[in-house]
Amino acid sequence: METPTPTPLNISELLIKILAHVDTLALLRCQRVSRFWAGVIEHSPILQRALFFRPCERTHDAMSNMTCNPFIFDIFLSLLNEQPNPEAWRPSLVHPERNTSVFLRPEASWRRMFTQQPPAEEMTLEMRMLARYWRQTIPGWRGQVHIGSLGDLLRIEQMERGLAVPEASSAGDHHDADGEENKGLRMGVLFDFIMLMSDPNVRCLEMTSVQPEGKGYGRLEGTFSATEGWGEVSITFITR
Amino acid sequence: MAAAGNLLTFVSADNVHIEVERDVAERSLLIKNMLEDLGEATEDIPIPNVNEPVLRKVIEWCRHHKNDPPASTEDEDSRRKTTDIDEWDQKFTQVDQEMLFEIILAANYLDIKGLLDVGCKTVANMIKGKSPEEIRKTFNIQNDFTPEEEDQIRRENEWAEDR
Repeated sequence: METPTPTPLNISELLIKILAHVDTLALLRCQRVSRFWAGVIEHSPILQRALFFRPCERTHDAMSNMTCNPFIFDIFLSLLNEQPNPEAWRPSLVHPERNTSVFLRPEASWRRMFTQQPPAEEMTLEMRMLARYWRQTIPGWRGQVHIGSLGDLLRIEQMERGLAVPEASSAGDHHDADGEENKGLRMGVLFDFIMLMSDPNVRCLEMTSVQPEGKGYGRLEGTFSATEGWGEVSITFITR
Repeated sequence: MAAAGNLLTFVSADNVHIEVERDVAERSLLIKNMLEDLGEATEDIPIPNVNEPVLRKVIEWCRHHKNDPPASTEDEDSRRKTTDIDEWDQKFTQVDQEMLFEIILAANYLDIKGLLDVGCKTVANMIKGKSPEEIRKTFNIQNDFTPEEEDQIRRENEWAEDR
């Protein structure tokens, strides 16, 4: 087999320089071009950060140029909200025009992506119902966070007392696996968190999201109804 | 005619002599540093690896951009979302793929950051919006994944195609 002529596309240093100019979606596709391209993308910290797989350092520059994940609307708003489930809080994952199973695969790469760069280290859950207010801050880097279903959280005594955040199980703990520098809220963790709040007794009315473009600030908001009336829930994740 | 000492002679890989004004030549950091080390360059400067047509294009770019402010040491990580290329550079890069690739390689070798950026952005624009198969076709790249490997990467990223 003859040696291929050197082109900018088979010299890793130059391929990185080129791919640094393509958008996140194009970069995901570029992983499928060839083994060489996949390897270059996998091993380039710059491109891994561009894919939201690796955290950007909190440099002055990065903090003044925060970016939100371009797919966050797709995952959390359109997919969850297209057909709010009238039966339960658990937002419907049935999308009329989408093959949702493709999204819900455990290996789907969006799950590994941070919600924003630099990543948010924690998320804050707030609930309001009638005159009650409940708030809890949860580390965002845990592999799986489950603090109770929405119905559990709504019980008055718990709203007054607050809930202890359970210790993360080591199995799904990104902290151990990736080390200190990989702390940050990944979309899969956030998604599972919302799913785990599902409760057959609490109906999801609507999910709305506010995500000012280009800011390290995310907020998912929803309204729900329970037997006692209706309330609001929001999950906020901010890069500090 | 420029004063002696302000005119240099490049010798391309295919042994063609090309005269270049010194301020134009110094857009190349490789040449600039070499001239600083040498003081006065009286001899021809060989540019191996770069043949005449490519070298002429590179010089054309340097001449047009000779008054640009020096390349900033911009953070590699601060990715510019826009792949804006100014009008002159867009016309300049309307060449066939082989020439474009040669220009990028030459800009990299000669260390001309501005030209390297323009070349890379042009290729990036050719990648955007294309499927993996279209990218392979455009650049004549062999798909060397095993079916299993390809299937795994496809499964991980298929969600992004369903939008």
